[in-house]
Amino acid sequence: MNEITPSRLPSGRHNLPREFVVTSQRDRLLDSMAQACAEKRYAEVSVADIVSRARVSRSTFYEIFPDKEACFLAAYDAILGRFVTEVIKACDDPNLTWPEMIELGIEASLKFLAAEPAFARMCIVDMFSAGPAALERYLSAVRMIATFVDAGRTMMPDRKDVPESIANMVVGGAAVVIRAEIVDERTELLPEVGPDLLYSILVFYMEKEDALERSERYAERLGFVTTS
Amino acid sequence: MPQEQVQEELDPFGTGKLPSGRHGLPRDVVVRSQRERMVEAMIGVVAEKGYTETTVADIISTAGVSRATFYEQFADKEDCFIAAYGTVMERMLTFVADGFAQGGSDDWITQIRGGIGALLTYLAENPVAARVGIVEGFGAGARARDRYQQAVSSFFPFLDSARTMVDEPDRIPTQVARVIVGGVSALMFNEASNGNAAELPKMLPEMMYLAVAPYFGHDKGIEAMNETEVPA
Repeated sequence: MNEITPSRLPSGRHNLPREFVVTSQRDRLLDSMAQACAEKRYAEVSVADIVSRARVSRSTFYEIFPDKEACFLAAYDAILGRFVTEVIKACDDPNLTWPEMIELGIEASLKFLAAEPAFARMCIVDMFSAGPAALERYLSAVRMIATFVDAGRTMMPDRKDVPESIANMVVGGAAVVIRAEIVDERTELLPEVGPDLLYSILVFYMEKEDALERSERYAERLGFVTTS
Repeated sequence: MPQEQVQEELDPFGTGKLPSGRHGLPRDVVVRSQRERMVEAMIGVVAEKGYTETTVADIISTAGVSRATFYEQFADKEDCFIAAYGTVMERMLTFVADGFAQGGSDDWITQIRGGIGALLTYLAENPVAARVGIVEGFGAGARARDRYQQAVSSFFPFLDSARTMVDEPDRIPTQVARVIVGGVSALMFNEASNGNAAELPKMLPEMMYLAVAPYFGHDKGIEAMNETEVPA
């Protein structure tokens, strides 16, 4: 997470503008929150943990955030913004077909999560125990991703009869697969589930054989030996 | 959730509390009755207030037991919740298993439809169980999560038995069953967390498409969806 977190500013008197100092303190608090959540449950993380990791005072914490939940949500929002940017960069190209876009989107998402284990845990595991606002953010992220999946109904031939709810269920199901990997401490191996997730999405919007072939080619591209 | 509904769902036969004061009941009967009351109290209170807001004080006052009795039987709030959660999950899984077996059919699609349909009907009729089993378990820590994973995994063999009926079963990726069960549970979670568990049975046809298409392809999935009726 070093990209969002500049290291600590020199202590004591300096000529840095106050706004800059606050930003840096805020970033350190956000980063500390994410790191703390990677090590223990959100419920067990205390404001004391966060301020000591971030090396800011308790009163500074409360100048910036009203409570622990606000800090958690701000940390989530900050890094979700980066996640979305990365994924869109990987798959937002008008020359791509819908299945290609899905494949590159899955690959970029899993790569990001594997590289950011603290964020991965926060957004896919801790969002369920951090109160209703966190849950609403999680569900809205799922809905957002589902709109890309649901585009398959109109972008692929003869798939208007696929129910609209499938996209939401499939994205929710993919999140369950990802959550199981994170909970089993295989976060860094997440890219390996990519081909399975690709098949599980494509199969609804194209012929089964075509979905299998795409998934197998993806696995080969990642350097996996196919069993068949 | 209204108190009477919680009460009726938890104590359908009105058995309630044992008579207080001196009685000739053996100690293990008393202990078991107290444990059941605390477990049922936990289910009811969590359904109303959510796990985080629930306190040991709520449990002992609802169950009508002393704090000492609570700590004789449970290490802490989480320990009691795990017992409550386990009870709810067992009830749900019993309904699913009955649903699968219904009609004694050995046709995979009929069994899957029976199992998912029974679960949706159960959740629609038991909003307390839906709230505790589907929603609250997620936020209640690692032990509840393990219990949930265990319940979810018990469905995989049922789904994956479809592999025996397709050509080249090994080409179908391993995680397909988890995506299907996860997708069904994600939808149940959404509806139950919005208090809409009663709407779940309407989703059965679409869930059938979700379960069938990954093994048999789109056309078979649509066929299974179209021949599925919404449970009454």
